Amino acid sequence: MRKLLLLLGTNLLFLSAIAQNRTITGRVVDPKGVPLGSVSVTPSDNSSAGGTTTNPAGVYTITVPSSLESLRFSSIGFADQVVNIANRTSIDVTMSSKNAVLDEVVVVGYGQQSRSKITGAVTTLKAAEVENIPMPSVDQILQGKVAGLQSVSATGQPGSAQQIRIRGIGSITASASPLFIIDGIPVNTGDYSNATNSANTLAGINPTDIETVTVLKDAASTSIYGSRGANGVIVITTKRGKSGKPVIRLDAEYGMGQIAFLPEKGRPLSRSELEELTREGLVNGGFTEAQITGQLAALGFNSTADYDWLDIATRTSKTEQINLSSSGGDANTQYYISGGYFKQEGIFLGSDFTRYSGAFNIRQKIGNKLTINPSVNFSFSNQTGESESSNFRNPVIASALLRPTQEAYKTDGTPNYDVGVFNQVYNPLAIAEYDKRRNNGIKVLAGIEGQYQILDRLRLSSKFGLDFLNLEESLFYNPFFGDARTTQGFAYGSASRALNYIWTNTLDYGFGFLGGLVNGNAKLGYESQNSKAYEQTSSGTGLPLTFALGYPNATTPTAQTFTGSDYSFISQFAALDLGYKGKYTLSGTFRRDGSSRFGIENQYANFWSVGAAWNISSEDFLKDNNVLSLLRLRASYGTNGNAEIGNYAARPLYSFGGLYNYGGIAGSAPTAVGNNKLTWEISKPFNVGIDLGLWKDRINLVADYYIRATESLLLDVPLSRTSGFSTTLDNVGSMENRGLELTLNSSIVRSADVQWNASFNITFNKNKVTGLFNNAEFVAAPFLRRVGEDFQSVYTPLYAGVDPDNGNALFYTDSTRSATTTDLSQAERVIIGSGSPKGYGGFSTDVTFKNFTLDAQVNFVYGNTINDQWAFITLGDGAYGSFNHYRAQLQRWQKPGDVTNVPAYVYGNSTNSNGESSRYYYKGDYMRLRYLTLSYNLPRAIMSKVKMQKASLYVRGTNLFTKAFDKDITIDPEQGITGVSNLRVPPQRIVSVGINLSF
Amino acid sequence: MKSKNIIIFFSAVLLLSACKKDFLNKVPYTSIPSETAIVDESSMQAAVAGVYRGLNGALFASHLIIMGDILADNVYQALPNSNRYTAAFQLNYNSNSADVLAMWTQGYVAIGRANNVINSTIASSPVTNNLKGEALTLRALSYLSLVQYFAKPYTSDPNGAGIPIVTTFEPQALPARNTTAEVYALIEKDLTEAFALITVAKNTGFVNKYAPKALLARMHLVKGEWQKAKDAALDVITNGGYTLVSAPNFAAYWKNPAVKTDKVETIFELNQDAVVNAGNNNSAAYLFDQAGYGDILSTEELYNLYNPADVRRTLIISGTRNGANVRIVNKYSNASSTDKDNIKVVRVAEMYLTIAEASYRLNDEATALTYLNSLVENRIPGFTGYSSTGAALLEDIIKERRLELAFEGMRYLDLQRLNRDITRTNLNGNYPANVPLVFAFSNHRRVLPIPLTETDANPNIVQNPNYN
Repeated sequence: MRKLLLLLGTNLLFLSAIAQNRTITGRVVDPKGVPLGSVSVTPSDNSSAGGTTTNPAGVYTITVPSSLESLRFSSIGFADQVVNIANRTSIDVTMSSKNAVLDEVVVVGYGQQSRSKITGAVTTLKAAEVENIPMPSVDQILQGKVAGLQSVSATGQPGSAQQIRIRGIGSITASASPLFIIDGIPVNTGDYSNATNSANTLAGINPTDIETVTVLKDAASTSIYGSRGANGVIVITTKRGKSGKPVIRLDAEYGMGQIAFLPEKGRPLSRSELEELTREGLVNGGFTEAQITGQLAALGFNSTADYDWLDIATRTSKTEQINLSSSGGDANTQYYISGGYFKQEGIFLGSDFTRYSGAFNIRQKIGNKLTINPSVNFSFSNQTGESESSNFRNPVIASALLRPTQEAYKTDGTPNYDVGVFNQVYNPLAIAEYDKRRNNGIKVLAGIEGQYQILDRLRLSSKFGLDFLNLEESLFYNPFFGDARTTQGFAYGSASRALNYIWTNTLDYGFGFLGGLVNGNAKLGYESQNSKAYEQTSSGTGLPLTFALGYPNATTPTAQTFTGSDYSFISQFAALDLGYKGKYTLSGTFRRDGSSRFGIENQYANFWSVGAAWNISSEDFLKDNNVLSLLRLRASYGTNGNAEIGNYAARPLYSFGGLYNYGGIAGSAPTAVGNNKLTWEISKPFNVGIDLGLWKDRINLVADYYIRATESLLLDVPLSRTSGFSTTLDNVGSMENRGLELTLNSSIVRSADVQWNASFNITFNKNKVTGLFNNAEFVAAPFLRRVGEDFQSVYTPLYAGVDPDNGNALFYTDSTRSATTTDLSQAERVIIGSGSPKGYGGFSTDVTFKNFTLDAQVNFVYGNTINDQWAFITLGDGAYGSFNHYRAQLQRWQKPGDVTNVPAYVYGNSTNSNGESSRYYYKGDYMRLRYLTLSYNLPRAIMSKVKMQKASLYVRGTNLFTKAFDKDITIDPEQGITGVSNLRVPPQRIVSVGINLSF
Repeated sequence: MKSKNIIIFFSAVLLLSACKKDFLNKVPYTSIPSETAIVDESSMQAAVAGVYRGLNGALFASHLIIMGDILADNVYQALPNSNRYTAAFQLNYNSNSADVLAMWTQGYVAIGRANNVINSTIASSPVTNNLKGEALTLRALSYLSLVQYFAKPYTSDPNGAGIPIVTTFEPQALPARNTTAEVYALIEKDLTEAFALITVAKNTGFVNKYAPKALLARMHLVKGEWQKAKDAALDVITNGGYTLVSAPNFAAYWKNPAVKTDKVETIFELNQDAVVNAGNNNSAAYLFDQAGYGDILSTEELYNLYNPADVRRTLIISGTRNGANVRIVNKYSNASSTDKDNIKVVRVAEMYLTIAEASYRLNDEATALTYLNSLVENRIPGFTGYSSTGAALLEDIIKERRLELAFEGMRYLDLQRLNRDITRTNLNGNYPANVPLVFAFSNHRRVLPIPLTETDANPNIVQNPNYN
């Protein structure tokens, strides 16, 4: 790195030598005309050269490069002003009172804009909010921080994909995830893995390299992204160099984790508890004493083995990260360079994630008019992840289902894998020891942008961006036990790469007329994007009968595939905003998109939006109001689309490959029904918002009400299975999300020694399906899709508890709850709730006392149901008597008169009491103390002695405390979007310590 | 100013230049448009391979084999177990049962693939005719397998609700159920056509000329059309040239996982080679194999029915499971090898039994005894043959069908066509107290439920009685 810096330095010297300078003078006054001293006057491009301050008479003189376009004037208590120099040598300035909210510059689609001109619903997070969090990807960090954004992890395996929904679920079958734009590139997100567990491409970006995260939520802000804006857009910019003295920053953190939340009722039984339960179940099942002895022996109760499989399958995990960066530069050149290391272990065996990342960018002015800005962010990552769900190799299923009597170790102390002992669920110790499931990823985001100032106010930008992912996966299943015993081992390798490149050209024109009363910006753009994903896989069976080989070769090749998946977009777009006197803003966008994904008959479409804003507090009648510092109304409406429909979803296809070959002959089979008219989903979002600031913005409220109507929804229209297909796609559905978002920020105490800030956000969302194929309801278990109902309406028979006389499970025959039956098949399914929350949000506060800061964030969710879909085994009333059970099973009915919710335990239970019903659904309401951080900043006096700018130490708890509001819950309430649990690794509670140093 | 104009011009070009039209044309890598899928002999061959593979999944490798025995009295589910086929063993399945849905779905997937081959308009040649014949046979086999499970037996309700007949690719269609008789008419037509079309000799992993004829014999027996059943079965033996495996070779025959061309015993089998089976634990064999789940075991009653000298009894191993003495099914002994046991779809032994039963029904007890004894004497060295008459002879034939075709998924279907109650004999604790021992022919579960997924998607389908 030192060499690079040296190289850079030489460059800078050379470049500054050729620059020409000019001198500018002027006077700065406050709104009443009083001269202002100590106003800092700096080049607006942040170059350090020539910065100065006004004297007490408000006068300044500054020498700047003649290439400089504008000057920035800033003073405490006043709003920053950026003034164009043009050809002037004398510039007088009148400062105006600061309005922090209005003057904030916000990243939006294809550019930046000041808050005062934004007509849409836009939320921004700054670097400080996403740095140094013990999580690998930025999408996880968004949880609870942004009103209208729901972020949940389906699994706690480090480096896995996160699920994000903005303003509710807006799609039924197409992706409902937002579009991610990183440094102008619409990146391929989500899961690119073939065989190993989900590999989140966003985990390839080091969150600590991120400068801003902007969430665009309404038509005015997202329609510029046309056919891909419907689910919201998350625009991320990475850190760029700032001119000035080079700053070197070092952040390091180390943490240890455990299971964040394990309800007592979801713990597996101990040996004695299981033995008692099993014996009781055998008696209830009518077995004779001899048979009972035999069965107990078959289940291992004749041995002395007594293992806590939850303890065996889990561990105290470690999370560590180190980030080092440097930035600096002068008027003409700025650079940023960073390197990062992140490692996180999962709390269950067999999962971890390691990432080495780097970033480098440079901004260089060439002459007066041209700026070029090459940048690259790259990472190398390794991920290990075990199978989840009901797979026998899943350590989560092992922790729940293995009996304490199953012998964990051989006599020599190595893991026991005797197939007689582990004939279903495998010993997780042996799987972790002898099998491999890993992937290695390389992620590169690179771009070069050139900006040319054609005229004073006309700028051409051209950017070529590249999003590259390479993923190598390998699986080795040993030949002695486990999934591949019958094939004498299994080896699998795959190499995939995704190359996504985009070329964006924009013309920006700023204008003003009527003496500056009306001003505005116009943008015209053209963009083409091409994404090619390619993969090859090979697999074989018959591995050498040894554990010793790191990479065993298979004797029988079983499959080899070469395949890929491509898409392309061509777009033209335009945006215009017009302001009048700084009080009224009108905005409009237009975009025309064409995509390879759509059916040949429907390949192009147009999208538009209009928006308006009124800065009421800038009106004369409110200007001097002491209470109201900000009052602003916004409204927008428009159309945009969702093109995430699968690259070839429109095509009727016959596929070739391993699944269709037979008897040595390459085979084929119809795999997609196809639809030539298939097209994007259309969303028509309406938004009204109010921004309110009170008492000099000590309290800020942002409220937005939205109606997000989506139509032409792609629907997997269920087909009769007699067609040979289960579903086909068509644009037939419609849906609506209505909601209210509130964000309250307050600065409660602002004194020299104590600062106390608090903020709160909450989102209420109501989803309603408004149209289906033939408006006919259908079941997508466990949900019912019915017009007028929530999209994730849970549809299941109603559990009515247990008959106290005989311990039988009872079910209501229908929704009237008037009659019960013991025969589940006679119980009608009814809607019992929704998998989607009614509301969610976060509360955060930070208190700084002298050099100490205490920072906390609480996330909450309410109004949804969650489902433990494997409870039919873990609380199966003996139907799966050979497995261990959750402790909730101990509350079973035992004798006449017992009043309980858990039926009698019968070994080999055949009553179907454990069939799918409301019994295994829980309230999803919870609150979670997401972060609690105590940090200490070393005093400035010490800092200056050791020539440091900043040094702080902190201790952080992540997911320290969880409150679930359902007393019967057996699982962590934080589940995926559907609320259906699937034996996945739960979130972890991490306690970490860290330091941040700047030189 | 001039340079500015040039730059503006270039900007305009950059903004407005449209890429080539094919920039938006992205074709998939391993798929082709459906309309070009079956256009010549080789693409038709590929599509036919896809039909075989459609049947070769869990449908034949597991469901049909296990269901055909566990619903009846040949096998039981040991405790503790892997929870496979529990509902079938306990006789408490409903329209939600995953196994039922899988059978229905996979059967129609194979039918759909076969339809595309049968309906293709490629010019006829010996090769394409043969391929069409294979597809017709496989379609008929699918229908024959499904209709026996999802509809009342033809012998009890020929005009009752059968299953939907689908012969064309119309994905949006919501077909109602045809009558059972109509379904059998299609099966008969397909098999008859196939027999005429097939001329090429292939290994036993593919449909050869006499496979449709053998299935025709099975179908006529199922319908109680005795003369036609007898004629077809005789045709297979006399003109097809298939012979019974000899007693000394019997064990080796079952041990061999490879396909053959020698016309000994096997008429048609589904090839479970190493490629097909990579990583597949969901085979019936895995449920029998003590190194697999091993929890589906032969009932003690069945084991006791075999003569100690019977070579067929060597396919059941007396062993222990969890300390108990049990009878382990060893008909599929290659479950732990990469090349697994093929699924025998139809063997010549069945033809002997068909001729025997059909002859008995046609009051030709002499022929019945001849064919019964030529099979049994081959299987039991030293056995001098049956000499029973009347009802006793019929019972002997039924018993021999049970012994010969055990663990091949035929027992339950025989009891269906015979309209008999099923009585499970509880020896050696094979059946726990909560498992029914009598499965009366009148019980509504003797016909599987139409899967809920189907009735949800297709309102024209009427559910079988007493399910919802």
